[in-house]
Amino acid sequence: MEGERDTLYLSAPVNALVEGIFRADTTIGDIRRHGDFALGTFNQLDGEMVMVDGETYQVSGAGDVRPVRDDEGSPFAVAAFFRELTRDELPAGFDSIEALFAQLADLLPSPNLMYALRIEGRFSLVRTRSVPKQENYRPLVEVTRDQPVFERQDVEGLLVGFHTPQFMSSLNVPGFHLHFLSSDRTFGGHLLNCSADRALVCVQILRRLRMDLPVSLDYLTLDFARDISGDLAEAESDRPSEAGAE
Amino acid sequence: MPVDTQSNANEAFLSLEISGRLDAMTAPTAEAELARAVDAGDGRLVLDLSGLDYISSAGLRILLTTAKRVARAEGRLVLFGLQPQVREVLEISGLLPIFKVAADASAAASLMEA
Repeated sequence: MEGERDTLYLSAPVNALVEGIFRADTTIGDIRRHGDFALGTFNQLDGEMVMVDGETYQVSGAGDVRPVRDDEGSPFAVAAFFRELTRDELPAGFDSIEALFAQLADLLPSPNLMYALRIEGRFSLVRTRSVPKQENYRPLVEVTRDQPVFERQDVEGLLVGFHTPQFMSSLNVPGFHLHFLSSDRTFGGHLLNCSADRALVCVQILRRLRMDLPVSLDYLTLDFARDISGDLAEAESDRPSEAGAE
Repeated sequence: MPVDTQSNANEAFLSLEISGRLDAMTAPTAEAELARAVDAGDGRLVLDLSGLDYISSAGLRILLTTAKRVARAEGRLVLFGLQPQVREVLEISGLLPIFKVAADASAAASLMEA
């Protein structure tokens, strides 16, 4: 762990996921060697991953939450050994994910660094999505157009997330990327929207990046010439783009 | 109020004392005070942090913003009186080398006059 202190670990670049490579030989055990705090997905895009304090959970496409074994596989995960640098009570409540992001941006010393964020609170509303198991080669943006969405009101839990500079958008989701897990471990997923009167934000600055590149025929023969930024923005948000809405 | 402004007697620079917590709650006020001080001191500013008990990431942002403002004014920014938590956060974040740090007020004044 010492060698990876304050290091962001990517098990693969996100562009591979966006292009539909939904399977890798990386296991949860492999990822836990690089962090105890993570988000991502599972092979065949089988749900959303949330790792907290070294415990990994899968939020399935049906919305169920279950603990995950170390031998299960993941095509994409973002991880770090979480070590709180500072903590802040947000100065005001927020009624949307955009309002939360605006307050989080004010907490960051610079948008050009990477951060791990652990946000604890009692949320008046949390809207998440997960993704049902998929076949390879279907672009992520198409998958997420059919995404099951879940909502819960008055729920206590935490947001596990990262901030990545915009210029790293082919490697990781740029900006804020948050997954939710309720305190009772019965509800979670990729955060689409939320509101709360207050929240505690613990921040870790990540000054280094470590990334593995997949060594698979699919990855090695993929043409990455396409600009994926539009696909990624749509796949990570609550709203389809104009193209997606057609 | 986390920020107390004091003009230095020799008027070569402006001294500010930041005390209490520099976090998300206090950052907006502190940022405004520091911006005014940079302008009033022609970019020459000493920050006395001996009463600053806690700095969060929001406080780090204010220090960086102030340093940038000082650089634009072609001035100088010196910090002194760093308490253990503040020094540790600056060290772990990697931001400490960005700032000139003096042992005490006298050393800070010397750095300003150098």
